[in-house]
Amino acid sequence: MSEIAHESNGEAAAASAPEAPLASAKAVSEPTILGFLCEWAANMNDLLDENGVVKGMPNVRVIKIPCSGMTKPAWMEMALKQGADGVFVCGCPIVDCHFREGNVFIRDRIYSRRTPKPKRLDMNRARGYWYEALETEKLLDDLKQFAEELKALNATTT
Amino acid sequence: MSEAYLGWCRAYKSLISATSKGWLWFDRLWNVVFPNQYNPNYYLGGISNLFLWVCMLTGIILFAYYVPNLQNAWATVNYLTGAEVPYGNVIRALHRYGADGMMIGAILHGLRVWWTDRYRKFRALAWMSGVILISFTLVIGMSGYLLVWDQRSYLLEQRIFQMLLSVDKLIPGLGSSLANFFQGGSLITDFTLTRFLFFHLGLPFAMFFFLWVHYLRINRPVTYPPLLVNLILLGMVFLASGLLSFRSGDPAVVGQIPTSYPVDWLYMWPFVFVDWLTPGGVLLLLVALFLALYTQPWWWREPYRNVPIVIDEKCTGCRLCEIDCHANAIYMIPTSGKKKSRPLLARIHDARCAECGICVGACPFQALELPLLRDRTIEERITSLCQK
Repeated sequence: MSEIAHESNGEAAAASAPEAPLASAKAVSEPTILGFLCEWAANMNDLLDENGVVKGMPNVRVIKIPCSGMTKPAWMEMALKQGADGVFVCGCPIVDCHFREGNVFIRDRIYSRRTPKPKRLDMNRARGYWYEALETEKLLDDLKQFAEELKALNATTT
Repeated sequence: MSEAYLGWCRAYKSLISATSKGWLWFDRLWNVVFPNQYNPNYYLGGISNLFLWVCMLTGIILFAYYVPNLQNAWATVNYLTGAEVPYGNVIRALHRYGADGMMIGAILHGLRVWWTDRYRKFRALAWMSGVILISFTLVIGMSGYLLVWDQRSYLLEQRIFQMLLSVDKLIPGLGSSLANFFQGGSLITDFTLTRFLFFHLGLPFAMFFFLWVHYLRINRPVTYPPLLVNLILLGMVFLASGLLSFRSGDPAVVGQIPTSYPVDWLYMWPFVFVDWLTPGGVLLLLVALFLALYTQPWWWREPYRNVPIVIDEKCTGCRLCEIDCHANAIYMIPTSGKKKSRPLLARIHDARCAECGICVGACPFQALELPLLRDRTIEERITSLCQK
C-alpha cells in the first residue's frame, strides 16, 4: 500500500506525463492499451517507467491501484473515449483476491452484472485478466494477443 | 519510532514478501491440477470447518456408545469398533481422520494468511481468534486421545498432569489445583474420564463462539469449499476410514506407565519434547508459542494512511459501499434529512479499513475517494496516458 502512496503522491507526476508517452508511442503504430493493475496481482514493478508505460511495450500503459475492485467502469469508458484502443483490468486470480472479492466485483461490472455498470463499454476493447504476482509473463503474453486483436479490429472499423 | 524499529519492520516485510512468493508458487502447482475456482489452497479455512462438522457428527454417534469410567471406557470404544456395531470402526476412523484433516487445514490456513500478509491491521481480530481456535483444536484433539484410555492415554495423561503440576514452581498452589482440576481429583478415579469428556465435548461448543468472532469482521465469509472440493475431501476421508480402520492399544493399567507409544504428530508433538525439556519446559514453550503467534499482528506495524474519505454532499445513502466492503468497515448513520431525501450517510471505521479502494469502485456517485489516490489524479493520468 505504501508503494501506491509514493506513486500517486503528487499531481506533479501527472502534469508532466503528457509528453513522455506521446514521444515514445508515436514511433510505433501499435494500438494504445491502458490498464488498471492491482498492486497485489501480476507484478510489473520492474517493467514500468515513472509514467506507467511498460518497458518494451510502449503502447501499453498502466495505472496501479490498491485493488482491481477499485476500478470504476466509468474510468474504462473514459480511457476509450480519450483515445485508447483497448482497456484492461488485471487483478488477482478469481477467488484469491487479496481483499477477498474485489476482482469478482470488477469482473461483474465489466459484464454489466453489478452496479455501478458501465454505460456503453465496447466489450471488444475491454478485458479482465486475473493473474497472481508471479504470473507477469502470462499477462504480457495476453496483452500482446490483445494488441493483435485490437489491430485487426482497427483495420475493420476504419 | 526509532531507526532500529524501522529496520526491523523492513526486514520483517521483506521476509513476508519472500514467503508470499513461496505460497503463490505453491498455489500455481495446485492450479495445474485444479481449475482456479476449485483450488483447495484458496479454501483452507473452509476445509477446516468442513472437517469440524465431520468430527461433530461422527462424535455424536461415538458419544452414544461411550461410557466414561475406568472399567468401561476402553471396552466401549473397543465394542464400537468390533463386529457388533455395523460400520462402528468406520465412524471412529472418520472421527480420527476428520480431526487430522481439521488440524492440517487449520495449520495450512494459518500459515497461508500469515505468509501472504493477510493477518495484520484490519484482520487482527480474525488472526487472534484463529490462534485461539487452533489452540482449542489442539487441546480437544489431545483430550480425545485420553478418552480412549489405552496405555498411550495413560502416558499422555500423566505427562499433562506433570506439566500442570510444574506451574507450582512459579505460583505455589496454582499448579496443583490446575492439575487436580484436569484429573478430576488428585488420584485417577472414575471422575477422571468424566472430566476428560467434559473437555472433549465442552471446548468444541466454546469454539463456536470464537468462530463467530473469527467471522465478525468479514462480510460474506467463505465457510465451506465448493461442492466439488467438499466431495473430494469427504471421499478421501471416507476412503481412508474404510481402508485403514483404527484400533486402540492395550488397555491402560493405572500404575504402569508405558515407555514408548505411537505418536500422532498433529496432536502429540508437544509431548515429544518432554524428555528433553521437562514437563514444565514444554508447558512454557507452548505458552510462549501461543503468545508469539497471538501478538503477530503487532510485531510489525504500519500506520493507516489511505482510509477513504466520504464526501457528504455526494453521498446518497444507497449502501452500495457498505454491501461491497469486505471488512465490514463501513457503517451507515441516519441523517437529519435536511439534504433532499437522503436518509443515511456512509461512515468509515478507520481501524477496520483495508485501504483497498473497493468502496471507491462501488460508489456510483463519486462520494468516496482515497486520499492518496484521488479520482482527479486517476482521471488526469488516464487523459495523459491515452494519447497516441
